[in-house]
Amino acid sequence: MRKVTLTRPGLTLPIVRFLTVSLVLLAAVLWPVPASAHNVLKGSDPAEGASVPHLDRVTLTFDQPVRADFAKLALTGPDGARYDAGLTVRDEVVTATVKPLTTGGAYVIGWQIVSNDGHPVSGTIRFTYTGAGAAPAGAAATLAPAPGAVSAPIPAASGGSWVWGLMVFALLMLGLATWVLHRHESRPRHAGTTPPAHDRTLA
Amino acid sequence: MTLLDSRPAAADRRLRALPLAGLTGAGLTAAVVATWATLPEPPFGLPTAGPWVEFGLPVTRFVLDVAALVTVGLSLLPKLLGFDHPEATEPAASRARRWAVYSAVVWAFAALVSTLLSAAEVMPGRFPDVPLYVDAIGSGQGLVVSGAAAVFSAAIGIFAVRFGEKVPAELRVGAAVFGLLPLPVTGHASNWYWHDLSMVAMELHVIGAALWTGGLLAVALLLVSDRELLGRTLPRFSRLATTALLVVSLSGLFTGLVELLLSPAEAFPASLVTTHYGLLVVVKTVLAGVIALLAANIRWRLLPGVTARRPTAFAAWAAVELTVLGLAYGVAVVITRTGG
Repeated sequence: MRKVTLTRPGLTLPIVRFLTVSLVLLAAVLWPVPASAHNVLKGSDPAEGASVPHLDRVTLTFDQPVRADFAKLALTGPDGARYDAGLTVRDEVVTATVKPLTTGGAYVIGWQIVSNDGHPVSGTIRFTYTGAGAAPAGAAATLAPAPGAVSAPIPAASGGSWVWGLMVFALLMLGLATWVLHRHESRPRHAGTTPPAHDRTLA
Repeated sequence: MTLLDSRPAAADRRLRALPLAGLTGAGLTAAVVATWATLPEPPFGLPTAGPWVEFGLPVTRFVLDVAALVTVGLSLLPKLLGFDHPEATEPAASRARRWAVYSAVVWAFAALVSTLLSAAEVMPGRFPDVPLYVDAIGSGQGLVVSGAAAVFSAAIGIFAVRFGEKVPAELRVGAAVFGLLPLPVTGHASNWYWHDLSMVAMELHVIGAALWTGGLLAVALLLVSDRELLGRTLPRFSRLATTALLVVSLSGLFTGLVELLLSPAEAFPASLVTTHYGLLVVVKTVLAGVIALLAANIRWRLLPGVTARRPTAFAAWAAVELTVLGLAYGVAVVITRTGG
């Protein structure tokens, strides 16, 4: 970029340079970013990579209260079977009860919640279970909360079929509008080369 | 001096398509690449929404954003043209009125598809229950309100096509801007003290960005081939763009600082490079610097020539600036989805 082209009469180069630099700095520093309101996982029990000798529940702690609907958790064992039994959400804490673990080895927790701003947040936590294959009888007894009582299932489907109807109706109206406008537009082109000052005369 | 006598029609059309092609092409590329780069590991053992939703959602959201800003810009164009010389401005104005309706229709359609895909993303593994999504989650309501505003905007636009500038431009701009408002509000949690002020700042930011980008796009799309009209209009747009830049910067300063300082995941300076979100912020900051350079180039190098009705490279520079703006918009779409 040549210096000559940067100036115009009456506006000297230092001023241009100063304004440009300050403008660039301003924009570079201040360029805004849409706010993030995602829930962030602060900690989990068991933690990622941990070895636990005993497990009767999985706890995930987030920085903000979690929506109870849409929360999901899967505990998968080394044999590929699912060991999660039920899910409770209380404020920032998501708790999953687990079935008695039968074998030691690598277990995986997969979780997904819907963040406060409506976006899903998910993650995977891997840990090792070092306990004995057969859980003690006493422990097994404490592990049996009724899954249905405390779980937070996905809400039942709402009976809002009218919303679907509305969407289809909106699509039809949009299509109709486009078609009408397209027809309207194509007419003056065939009629003459210069459109009149106001389109009032066309319809 | 009319719009059509200076150039052959085909070259004119190619030149006109360039800014929009740059904006959308760069933006879609940025959205897809940034989505791919930040794709989270799927949660083990749970159903996922699949690539159609993961990539389709940012793409439709980008289309929504661009269609909205095109609608705003085209509705704004008559105000920039002025009403003193209707015979000179009417060809461009009538074209702007028609295209505004088309872009509003695209906007409404993108809002519908976006609602459907968002519902599918939240409830993977089953058929998306859109009513439930809209009922339970604020972003769904925001999309529906935005789509409704787009339909309203298209309806007003059709009246404007029929009755010309008797339908006030302010009403059209207002309807289009109203459709932008629900999107940032509903994508944000309200769990802290400065919430209201932050909302206002983000709304100002969205309005300023749409007026700025949309106005530049409308000018670049419709006026580049008419040196007389461009010379009369660009100074007006330049004043608007300066104000918009100030508003966008100040509102962005507030939201940006607050968000970075309040993020619980990582400490502030480190989070710029350790998180996906921070990296996208850095990318966008670099793009913002480039955009400011390009804007300054148009403002101080080209504007005197344009005002004097001399031939300038305004069309090419505007296309370049819009391409970089498109990149920034594409990254922004992914930022809103990635979050902190």
